[in-house]
Amino acid sequence: MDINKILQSKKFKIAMGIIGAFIALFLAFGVGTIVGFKKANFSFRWGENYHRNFGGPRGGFFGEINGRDFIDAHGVFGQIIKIDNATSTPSLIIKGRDNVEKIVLIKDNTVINGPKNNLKPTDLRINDYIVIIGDPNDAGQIEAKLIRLMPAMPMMNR
Amino acid sequence: MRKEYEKLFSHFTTIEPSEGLLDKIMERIKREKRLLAVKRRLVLFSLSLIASAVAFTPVFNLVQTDLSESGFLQFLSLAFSDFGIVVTYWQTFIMSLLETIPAISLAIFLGVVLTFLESLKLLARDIKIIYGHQQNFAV
Repeated sequence: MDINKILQSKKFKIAMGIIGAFIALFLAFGVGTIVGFKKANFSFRWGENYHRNFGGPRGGFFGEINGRDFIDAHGVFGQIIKIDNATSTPSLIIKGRDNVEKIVLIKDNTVINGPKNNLKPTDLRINDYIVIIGDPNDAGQIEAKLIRLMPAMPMMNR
Repeated sequence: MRKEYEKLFSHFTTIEPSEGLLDKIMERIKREKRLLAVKRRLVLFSLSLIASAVAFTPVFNLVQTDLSESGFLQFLSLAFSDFGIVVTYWQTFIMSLLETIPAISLAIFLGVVLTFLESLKLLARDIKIIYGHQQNFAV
């Protein structure tokens, strides 16, 4: 049988398409698993440390987090509701989507950009809207890599 | 008497069916069957085209709401405003995007768009077939 004929056949193309679809499916599943695990892990840490970070009950005031409500671990977008510059590692409390508060630590290597670049933690103000990317730590906090000051977002006040 | 008639008719030339008439008839029957199937498909694709066109606006609004509420667009905007830092911390950036991407509503939206485009393509093909068929057999 001619191998070229097989390679050019419609059945071969369909088989290749199915294999490609399965690869995409498995990749998406793998990525989803990783992201889900990270979010679940951070949500657990956040809940476990809630009483230490915010002074409320373990698991937060709204009870245990479940299902699709897991908290984003590598970033937050929202409004500053508290700034603590007194400690050696300044921190912010951000009210993100669904009114979940997150503690963001500002490390020495954290870059803060806004209308001007390389701002200092003292340049941030309560009620400022910011976007942060960073890595989660074991205390349910985010160690910021980049903080970007944003213009006010009216929809966030809902 | 009968023999005389037979003798009389043997002088006439008999009409023979043209060569390939059976094939032509069979081909025409096949075409009509195909046309019927195409017409049925036409109804199906018309319905799916209308359904996807109607669903487009609410699904688009859903995606827009999810994109803005999840913060995905704000995170994505960092790639334009702080490109250098995003490149340095690309893994963190990618994770923040993956965590906030509204995958379900985006999948539904893309499904609706795909259904619309596929229906449009198949509908156009079927209309062409029917139009071509009518022109071929126009009296």
